[in-house]
Amino acid sequence: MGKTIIIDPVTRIEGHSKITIQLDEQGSVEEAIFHVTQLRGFEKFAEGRPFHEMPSLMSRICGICPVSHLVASAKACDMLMSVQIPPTAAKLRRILNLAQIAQSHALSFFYLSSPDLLLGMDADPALRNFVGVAKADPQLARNGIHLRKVGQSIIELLGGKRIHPGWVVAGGVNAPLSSEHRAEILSMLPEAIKIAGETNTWFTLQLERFADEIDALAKVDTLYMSLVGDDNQFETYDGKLSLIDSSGHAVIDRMPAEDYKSILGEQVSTDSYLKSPYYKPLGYPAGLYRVGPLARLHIASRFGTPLADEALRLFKNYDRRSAFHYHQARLIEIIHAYESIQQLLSDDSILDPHVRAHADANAFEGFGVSEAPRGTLMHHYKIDENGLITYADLMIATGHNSLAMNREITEVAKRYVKNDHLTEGMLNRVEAAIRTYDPCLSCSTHAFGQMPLQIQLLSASGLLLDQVMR
Amino acid sequence: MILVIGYGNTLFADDGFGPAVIDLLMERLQGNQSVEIISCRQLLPELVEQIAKAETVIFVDANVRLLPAQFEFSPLQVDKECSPSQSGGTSAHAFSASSLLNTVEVIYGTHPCCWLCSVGPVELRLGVPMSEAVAGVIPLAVDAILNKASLTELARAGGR
Repeated sequence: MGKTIIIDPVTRIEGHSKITIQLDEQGSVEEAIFHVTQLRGFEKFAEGRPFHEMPSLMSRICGICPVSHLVASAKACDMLMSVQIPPTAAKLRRILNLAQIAQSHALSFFYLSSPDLLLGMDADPALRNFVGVAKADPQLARNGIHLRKVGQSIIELLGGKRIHPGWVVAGGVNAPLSSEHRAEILSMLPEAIKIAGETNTWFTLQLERFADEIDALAKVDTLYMSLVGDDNQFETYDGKLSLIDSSGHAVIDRMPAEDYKSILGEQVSTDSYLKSPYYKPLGYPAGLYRVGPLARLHIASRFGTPLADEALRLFKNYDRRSAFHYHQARLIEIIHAYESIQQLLSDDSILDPHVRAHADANAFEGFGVSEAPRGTLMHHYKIDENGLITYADLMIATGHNSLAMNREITEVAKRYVKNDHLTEGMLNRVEAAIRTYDPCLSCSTHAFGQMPLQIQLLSASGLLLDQVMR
Repeated sequence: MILVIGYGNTLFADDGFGPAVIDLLMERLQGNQSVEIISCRQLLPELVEQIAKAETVIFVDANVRLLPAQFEFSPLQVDKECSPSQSGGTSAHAFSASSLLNTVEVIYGTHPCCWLCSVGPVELRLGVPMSEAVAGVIPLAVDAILNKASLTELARAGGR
């Protein structure tokens, strides 16, 4: 038994987790494990609740991406009601989900990851934060703030509030879009698209500086999974489920997402509250796959919006295995989100007042899927004859990435961590590997007090040999 | 323009002081456009755009450094050493008022005159109602904010 290094908590991610790095007798990294140390339990306590409560209840899972849960949950309820929602309602839900993706990606890129990208992995952690970014490049900070604010404002204008809007309901949305709000949203978009495009161009020019990180994050071979449209177009609201391998070859070509259990299994781990889904034909743990912006851009052939398609053409030349490209995939999805919202709002049918279908439960099982900022999100419910939930199964984007994240940090730790010379930069690289996936573990975003980063070096007998706090 | 930002989590008893003050302030203002008000759970970086445009900003919050139910209305200083990670937030996107002000100054080169309107919490447990002592401070806080707002308006009008 060798030594163990613990990073607890992992910083600049959404939620609470820690990383354990296990060293062998020679002091080399044997394995790194990503532990999610918080339990939510939504699948269990949803049981017994009326199905129509699910969208508002399930959106409470997360304070960062509540809209994605709202949308997936409402779609599952649509199926329970056996209704086809009005086309305008579907478009409005789509706009809300795109705004959610844009604001969440802006948070991930500018607030959480840009300190590493702009200031460097080895920078003083006291300066390596968003204020440090603002000092080093005020315009980049302004851009990040503005891009996130636009997404938040769109959510607020559509849903009534920025966090946990109750606007999306079973059967559609509970109010049509006003022409005033449409005009207000449209007025924000040209500037947002311009900023997102310029930031993407700037980041493309920075990639050379990260050759080592790109290579370090290209050691894990995985499948990719996402929704796609009928003509393999980028899709976030409807579509079918596709999987490709790291060479780009189709593994599953547009299967109905509700059949997910035929291809995906879930492994429960004893060291984390996060379950580990895997691709069944390859088994556990070989069946690892990735979801989220990286997967979506590798799978989709085109966006259908001009600036994003131009960026996608360049992106297709990147090493498909490197998780580092998650960062740029987020920027490109921000471009697309705002371009797409602009397109959808430019059609006058978006003001149609008919936005909700009404019905009671007409089926005992419902399934809803959407692309959340971090990847494919599935809500699956069963109800009894009174419309009460008897079963809820949620496949969350971060869960899909669980196995890949564990493999990723093992490879990065092997490359950078040496037990005889622990440095802040080494440990930050392990954390940064997790940040590329932007895992969302928070769900409850309100925390009291300061939680420092704690790194412990333990001997084989458990003796504390060294400790670093920040 | 005067901007009032009340922040806190209403699920945690007296931590909801800021949003509760905003609710009463909205009633008292009756649509008066000279004061812009924001109610939120936590301070986020995207507030800096609005803060930078304001002449005066009043942050309303519960502050555990004060004695229980103690009310304080004091100038807020920029803490230039204060980073998000030092401000009590764990996720680097929740800021303290002073670190948010620091961010405004760093990005825009200046910051408005800022005040902190705060109360010492008595109760902070999840799911517990706001304590009577802190609820009793809400009208005082609103009066103090309106007083500051009217003084600011007077100063702008030439000190009439």
